[in-house]
Amino acid sequence: MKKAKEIKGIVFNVQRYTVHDGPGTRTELFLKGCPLRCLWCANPEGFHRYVEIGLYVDRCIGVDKCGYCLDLCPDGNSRGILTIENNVITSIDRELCSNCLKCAQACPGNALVVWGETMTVSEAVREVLKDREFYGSKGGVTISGGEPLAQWEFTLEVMKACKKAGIHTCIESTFYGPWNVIEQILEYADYIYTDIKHMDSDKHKEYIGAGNELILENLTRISKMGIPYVIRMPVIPYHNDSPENARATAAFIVDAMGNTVRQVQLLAFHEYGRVKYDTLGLKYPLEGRKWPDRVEQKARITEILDIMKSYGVPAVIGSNESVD
Amino acid sequence: MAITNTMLEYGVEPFDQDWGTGKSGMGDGNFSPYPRINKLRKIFLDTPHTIDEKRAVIWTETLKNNVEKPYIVRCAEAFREVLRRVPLYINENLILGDMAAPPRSAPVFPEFSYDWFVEEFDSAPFNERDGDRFEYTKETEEILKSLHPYWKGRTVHDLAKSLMTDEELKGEATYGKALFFPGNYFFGGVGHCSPRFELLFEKGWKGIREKIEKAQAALDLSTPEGVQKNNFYRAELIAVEAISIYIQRYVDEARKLASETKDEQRKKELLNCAKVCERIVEDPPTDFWEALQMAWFITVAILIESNGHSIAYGRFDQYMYPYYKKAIAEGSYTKDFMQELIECFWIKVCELTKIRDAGSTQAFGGVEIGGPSLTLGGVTPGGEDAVNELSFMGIDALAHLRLQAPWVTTRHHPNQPYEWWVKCTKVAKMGFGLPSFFNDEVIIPSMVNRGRAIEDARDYNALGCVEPDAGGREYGWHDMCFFNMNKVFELALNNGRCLNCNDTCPRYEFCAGAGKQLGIPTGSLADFKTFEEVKEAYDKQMKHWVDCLVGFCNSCDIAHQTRKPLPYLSLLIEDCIEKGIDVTAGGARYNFIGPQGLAAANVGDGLAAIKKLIFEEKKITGAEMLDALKKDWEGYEAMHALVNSSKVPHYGNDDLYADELARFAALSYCKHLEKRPTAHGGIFQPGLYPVSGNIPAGANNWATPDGRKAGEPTADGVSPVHTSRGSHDISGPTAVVKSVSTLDHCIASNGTLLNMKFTPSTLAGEVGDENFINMMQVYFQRKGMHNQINVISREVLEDAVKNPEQYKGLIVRVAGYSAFFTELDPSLQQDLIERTELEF
Repeated sequence: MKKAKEIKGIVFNVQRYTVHDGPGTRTELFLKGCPLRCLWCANPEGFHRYVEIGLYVDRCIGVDKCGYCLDLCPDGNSRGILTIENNVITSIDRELCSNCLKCAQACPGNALVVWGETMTVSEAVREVLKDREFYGSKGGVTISGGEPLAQWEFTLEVMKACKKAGIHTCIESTFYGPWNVIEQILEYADYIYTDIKHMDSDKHKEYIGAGNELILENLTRISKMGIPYVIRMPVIPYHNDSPENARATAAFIVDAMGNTVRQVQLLAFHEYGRVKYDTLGLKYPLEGRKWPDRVEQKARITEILDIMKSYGVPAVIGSNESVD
Repeated sequence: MAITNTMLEYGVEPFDQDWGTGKSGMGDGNFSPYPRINKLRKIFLDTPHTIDEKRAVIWTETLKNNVEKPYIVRCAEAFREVLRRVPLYINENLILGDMAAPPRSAPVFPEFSYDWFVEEFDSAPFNERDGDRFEYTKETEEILKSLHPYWKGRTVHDLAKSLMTDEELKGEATYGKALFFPGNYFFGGVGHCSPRFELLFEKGWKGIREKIEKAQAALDLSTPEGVQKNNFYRAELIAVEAISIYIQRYVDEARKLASETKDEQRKKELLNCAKVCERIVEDPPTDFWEALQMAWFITVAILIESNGHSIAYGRFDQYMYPYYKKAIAEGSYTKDFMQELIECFWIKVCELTKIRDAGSTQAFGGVEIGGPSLTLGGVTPGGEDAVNELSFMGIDALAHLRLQAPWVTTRHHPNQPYEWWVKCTKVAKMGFGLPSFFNDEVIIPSMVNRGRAIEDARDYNALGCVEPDAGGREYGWHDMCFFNMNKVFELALNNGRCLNCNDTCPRYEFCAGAGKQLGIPTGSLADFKTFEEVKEAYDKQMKHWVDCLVGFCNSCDIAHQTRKPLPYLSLLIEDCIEKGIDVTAGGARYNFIGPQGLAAANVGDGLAAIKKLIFEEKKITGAEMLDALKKDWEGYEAMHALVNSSKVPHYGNDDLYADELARFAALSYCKHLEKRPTAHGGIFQPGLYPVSGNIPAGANNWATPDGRKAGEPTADGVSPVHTSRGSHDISGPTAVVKSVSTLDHCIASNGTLLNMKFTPSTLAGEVGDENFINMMQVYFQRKGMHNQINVISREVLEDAVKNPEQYKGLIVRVAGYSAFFTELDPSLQQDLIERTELEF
């Protein structure tokens, strides 16, 4: 195993004043890399474990006025890595691109952006410490992703260092990973945020990219550790919002997990991540789907809430209610 | 008076009542549990703004007819005539009294400046304005025009202008190149003060009269001083007679209406109103209703004497509390009835209006009176927690009315009950910009540092936008001018010349055309060898323009003393009667002039761009950037994008590189200004806040290195920069709070303003409250002075621009105060939309 100070992570966002992902005011580190592919994922820039370039076409100020990206591309763009249409950069050929990032580092208009920053453990902790005075008695750091287990060594070392600095630690993870790794990390976790997306393993595989057996097994273990935890359920219309799935989820929380959960948050579906798919040259998996209106969605989520409550599960809609 | 555990109730609503987040402007308008209030609210919203000529006519006639007397006595007589003769208006409000015009109608004050007013009838009719529209009849127009010949050359403005040097005028907005904008004080009244309610309640008008008579009797009339002071006391006695006449007229009018109505309930109500007014014609108030009614008459008459705005309602929860306690103890009024009375009072404040010239509507926005602040919470003069039930009831009244006034400002200190934080947060996050939050821990020491006694400083009320004032003891000339630091920066980069200097400028022939320049020569960005030279040029240019500003302000000060003494206001501010000196001439205990600097963030970001790109990375030369600025970035699009990008450090992101430069920019202004003497016997003190002066300031400011294009608004208060290419603060509210608290708020003792905008999801629910309160506490621990919040989503705002009718009740905070969104000028609406949306 590498020494802690040699471990580097790739972080795609350091989000200060996070108020929904853990108790109190927090700084959230979003780590790159995730083994799962939820169809509704709002953070596609977290898929890959490496730094990559994003392109916001409408921010390009025009290659005639600027053109730094073309000048700096190592092959002078002779192979047409960057496509120019109507004087602006419209796409990147990611097969040909060596990901040297020079174009994005020079782009004055933030049309080309770098998704992900490589940082050492101490650099990450330094970012966390910036808002220390805002954390009060409840807040602290939340490590999220992507899936933080994808960079488990970095996650472990950052949590360890934060604990040592007296910072409250929270991990937000699907826990789709080997137990021996999870166990090491949870030794340094003061709080856990996790989720259950579907109780039917086939559906889980279809929507998320893997069966749910490993996740549920790990959650069962976590429920008995005594670390406070919150379970989230993103409520996606036509995917996991059936009463049957709600009953199965509630039953699992009660029977397998002993209903030790602090709060179960039912999160309304949104598509705020769509534009990020475009910046990565990816197709949004749910493109073109028609959704029920918000009134209808509210009704369905309320039905799920009632089912959960009928099982005695401490369910709430959204993440606006305080957790301790 | 601290809340103890035994006190089960706070206001009429639970202290943690949640009214939703970002919900202002939604709903049926029936928010109050009191039907009378909802009805009055609807009438208020449906009443158009009008112009009323009666005050102007009576004032002019009286002044014309008493020419032989001392000027201050003539002014007092004119005031008395107005109060004796203007028509009275009584509706179902339980508080009576108007500003010599019907509700939502603007009286006219020709004595301050009149040429523009008469000219705008023809050049830019008040009833054809885009925003800030006023209706009037042809007859009103003709009458008001007929007064014009008398006032030519006789106004405060005419005298002030004649006192100024060309050097001073060329920095001013109407006659020069707009380094400073003195709209209020150059064209209108001073205002910006609050009366000493407690003393007036204690003595009643009779007691005040006796105090004057006693002082008068003690004069030695053989001395020149005695003769002078005797004139002052003569005027004071006329003023006190005038206010009693006015109140008595309402007694008579209410009785008359009572005798005419067939509605028994209404008859009883009118008779009660008459009885309340009758008690305070001469004598002190004895109960809650009488005290409230008296507070209203005291303040509304200030607005009849002068059109200076920002007459504050002081520490409402303090001066009213003895009457509240008495009513509860004796069972004379229920808590609910007192709440209804408070809401009646709130509506009266909303009904006040003021007409401004077309230019000033851009700077101040809205058609409301301006600055009707009312302060709740804080500490007592002895330093103990002062929060009480009335503090909570005042916030409940805001929640029940959801209107733009009064501007409720809340004071905060470490020893207050947590419930007070919760109460204020719950209403602030509804999204109509009220209440705002003030930090006792920085304001009180900063006031003491300017020479106020600690007890007086602890008893401060916030006034106007954000100005701390030792209520009823001070004539502070708060808000005298906006001063654009970024225009100084523009001149500092171009050897004292405007960056767009050319022969179409109206000043060209006696400026550049005559081989001169606007400012002083301090070098050019093309030639500076080190970054230090850039800072030195800015500081030298700043010193020059602050000198001009000070001279300008003192000319205005002398003109007000000479042409507009205020005998009525002098009754209300402590030490005027004791000293025998009018408030305009230095009668108050504390005297200041407080012009406020704006755009520190633009200068800071501009300096950061110069330092980083020219002197450190050497990516561009000073000559190139200067050329880019002169061409308004035309042909330099990449540079424009770059200075606006996060590749250059920007103020507002918790990055000391930029924050220290913004601090330097603001300190240069503050240091050159503070402690200079004022004509009415005090000192200058700087503020750092904009009202909405950042719009006209930007309109007169060429492209600057922070990435503004020519004409774009500057940053607002101590808030970070946002240009048409986007917001410069991208690191969330904690970073903003940390950056803003690197500035020295204590030296800016005339107030600083931070304006934070939130999307509703950030503040919703318990989680939103907890985190917001926590953030505010840290900001205040770090010696930040003030904060106010907008909680509105972009969708709401854009839709409101397109469909104003559907958003009639939507209120937004415009830098220090609230106005109705649909009444704002389109450029202000756009500016609001572009403000940072703190999405996190």
